[in-house]
Amino acid sequence: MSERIKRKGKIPVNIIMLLPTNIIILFLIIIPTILVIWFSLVNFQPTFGINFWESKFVFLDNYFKILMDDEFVKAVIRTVYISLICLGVEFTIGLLIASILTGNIHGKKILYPLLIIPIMIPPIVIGNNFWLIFSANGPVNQIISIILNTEFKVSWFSHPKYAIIPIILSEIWHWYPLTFLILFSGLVNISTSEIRAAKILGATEWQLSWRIKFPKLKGIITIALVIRMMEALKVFDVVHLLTHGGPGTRTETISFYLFKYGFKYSRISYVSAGAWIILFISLLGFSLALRSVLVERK
Amino acid sequence: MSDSMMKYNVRKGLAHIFLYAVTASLLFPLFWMLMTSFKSPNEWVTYPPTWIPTEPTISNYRFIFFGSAGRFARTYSSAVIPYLNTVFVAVTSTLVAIVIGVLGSYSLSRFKTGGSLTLLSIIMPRMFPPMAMIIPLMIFFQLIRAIDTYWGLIIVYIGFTLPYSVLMLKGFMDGVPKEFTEAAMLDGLSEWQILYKIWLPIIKNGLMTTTLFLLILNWTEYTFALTLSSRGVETITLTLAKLFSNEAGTYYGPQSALGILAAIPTIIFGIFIHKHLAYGFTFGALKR
Amino acid sequence: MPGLVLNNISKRYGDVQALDGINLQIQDGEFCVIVGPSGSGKTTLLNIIAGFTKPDDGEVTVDGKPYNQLSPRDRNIGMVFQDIGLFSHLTVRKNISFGLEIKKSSKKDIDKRVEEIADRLKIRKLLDKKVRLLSGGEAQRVAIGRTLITDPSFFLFDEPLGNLDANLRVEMLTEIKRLHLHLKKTFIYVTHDQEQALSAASRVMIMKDGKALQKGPPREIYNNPIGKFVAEFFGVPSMNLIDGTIIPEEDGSLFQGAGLNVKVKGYSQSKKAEVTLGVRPTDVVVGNQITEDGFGTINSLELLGDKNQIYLTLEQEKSIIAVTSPEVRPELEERVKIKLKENRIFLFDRDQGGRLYP
Repeated sequence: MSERIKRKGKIPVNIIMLLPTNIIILFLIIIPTILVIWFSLVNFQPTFGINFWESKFVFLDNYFKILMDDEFVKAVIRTVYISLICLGVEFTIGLLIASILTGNIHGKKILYPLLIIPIMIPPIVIGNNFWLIFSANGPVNQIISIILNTEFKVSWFSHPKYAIIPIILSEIWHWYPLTFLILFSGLVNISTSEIRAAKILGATEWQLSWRIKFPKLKGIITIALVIRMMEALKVFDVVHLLTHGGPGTRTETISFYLFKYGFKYSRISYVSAGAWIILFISLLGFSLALRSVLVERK
Repeated sequence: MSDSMMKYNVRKGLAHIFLYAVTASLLFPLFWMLMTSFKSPNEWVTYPPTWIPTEPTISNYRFIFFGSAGRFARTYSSAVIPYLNTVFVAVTSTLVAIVIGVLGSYSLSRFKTGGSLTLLSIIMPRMFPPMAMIIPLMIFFQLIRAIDTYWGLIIVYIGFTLPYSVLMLKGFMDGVPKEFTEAAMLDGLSEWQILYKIWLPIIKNGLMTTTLFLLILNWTEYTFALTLSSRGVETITLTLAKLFSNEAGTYYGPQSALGILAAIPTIIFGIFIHKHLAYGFTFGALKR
Repeated sequence: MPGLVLNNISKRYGDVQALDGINLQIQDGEFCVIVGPSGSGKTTLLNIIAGFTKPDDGEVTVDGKPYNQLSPRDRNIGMVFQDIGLFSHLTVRKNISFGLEIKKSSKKDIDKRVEEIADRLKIRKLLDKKVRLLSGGEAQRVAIGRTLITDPSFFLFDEPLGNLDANLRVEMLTEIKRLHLHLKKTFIYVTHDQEQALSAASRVMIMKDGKALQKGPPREIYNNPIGKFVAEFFGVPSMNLIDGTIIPEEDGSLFQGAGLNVKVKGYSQSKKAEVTLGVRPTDVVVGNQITEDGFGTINSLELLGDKNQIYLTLEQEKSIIAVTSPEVRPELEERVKIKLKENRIFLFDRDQGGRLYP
């Protein structure tokens, strides 16, 4: 049900307003994207002496090559795995804190801003911080030693199995305020009368949560999940800082893989193909999620 | 006391304890960073780790502002200029992205220009791993001589936060009740006036929230700053990375100090608008 | 045996004493209306009865049982809110059935009850509609229906008609009165509108600034207001209040104010005093009768069909209103005689507002 725009012989207002957005997206995004498509279909590899204009057309060769690469596939799976864990834990923490903070808690006013801080800190700082905290002689090992009553001096970042943990934890620490904020404002904005009405009708706290609060938050939870997932799949900063993808390739994420082969080894075409595969998968997933949100809205 | 009243009090008590425990562990990294920023070099990495500096010092902060002599001075002199650079770049790109985003989302929300396909095409770029865009962007930028310039970086930041700007603002705009628009049209206001006088005040909270979100994204951005600029336009994230690199050795103290300083502006802005955040983060999906 | 007893309820918010020692006894099945201007504490009182707020002092007792420690869900009350508060994510049917679904009643029972209630409130055709598509009046009916399903022992209404159009208000109030007659349960109804109070209540409590000023059947409060505020609050148009002096005479007193000289028999004072005289518009006689209490100039006239509302100015720029039968039709700017009906005069203390006479 769009409004009819009266054409006065000039360009309709709504088009004018959308124009800057479209222009910027077009130039900044579309053009590089086209370049990426082009790269993915040729064998552009500057350091091998094949410059831009000489590269041959190889069609989908790059796509096949990258899909065959074990390292790439592992990176994709690993990234999805990391993202899902982060999402799950962040939502749990966010939900718990949001629920508790909507009640009458002493010191609510101080806690609220303090708990939000992590999302505002540059990832590099977080990386640096977690490097210190998880270093072999750091406080985490110290605390674990006290709890287990034995000496615990694991070298987290060079451990094949455990290296991924600080990465996941730093991501969770960085992003949990987002889910907390979203859920908190959602809860706070549920009309008091509805909550009171439910209570008067006999609802327990549990029933109140399940029948009133959660159904109402469904819309914003979906948006939060989508936004967070989009960012989670791109995790790069902390990986680059803390483990450099290591030990070996044990903590490589998609973005790190692309960085490694794109920048360090200059295999541009290869990387471009990889990027398109990722985009394709993301588009599929997110179209489905966003479609349900867009429909529900009106 | 009735049974339900007693259960409620016990539950409240447990909730308090749980909340404080969780908050303590959530605040721990922040605490560590703060402490480290005041430690003298001999306490940066000790065994057992030093929780509270025994000789607190502000030498780390001095290092940030005035740099050092010696081998390291070649690449690092002071963090003041990068700090200012970051302020300039982040604020400018955020403001422009908001303005353009407001126009675009208004068009999408009120007139449904282009339908859901347009919306998707605006959001899609955000799904692309920035890594993949770097090379093409670098080449593109070389061509238009935008490498290592302020406006180059700003344009990129605008471009990559615009999808969020439009998406979030559209969500809020969708929540504006029709009656206001209808009344305004009866009064003969133009589309621009309706946007400026009616819609913007209504979505004030959402506007603040989106601005904060974008500001955070731009302020903490690393990937593009790393690849598209070097000495000319150095932002704070690059400086931080420098302090972390092998060239510098391990300057943990100054890193933490700069980290604290880098976090402060967004925290201040966040506290400033925190009243709006409570409504803002619903993305308009809940009617007031 | 009083069903609901409020015993010395007090509540403070920061510097403000929202409720100050409220005592009230409501019999089973009464329609009790709590009126007062905004800020008088009536909503706070209702929230305490409902259990959302705990009083600082005092007790709520129902049928002898203390209610203070009970949470709202254990109080077996029905409540209708000012902003209606329907569950916006559910259909009308689900809103009404909520109370029984909580108790996990069988689907058959629930459906039966929902349909009964829908029929009674004439909202059968709305049952599968989404809540946000309802009009104000429809929504309020659904809200009432929602409370009925759990068969509560008494009902609380918080300004239920506030969001409705004027004509709808009359209709809804009639519905609510009819419901009360049918259910024979206690209704506690809070409003700022004294018209609603007068027309529906069997008993009224007037509140101001956290205190209960007067309690009783509405007629009695109308005829015997305890003070200036109550007298002015009840009645449309409100009672005329004229400041003046009371002068002792041999057989009573003489009131002088705004150019009026009114004999007040049966009120003796030893000396002069500053008082306020109160007289209802219906008790002001305008015309050319033999004895007058004073003169007034006609400001404007409202011819309302079954009565006339006449606005007059007395001396010292004092304006009053008179309500007369339709035949009384003075001209604008005309100077007329005014007489106040003898036994219908009130005297109030000028500062405290308490009633001095009768």
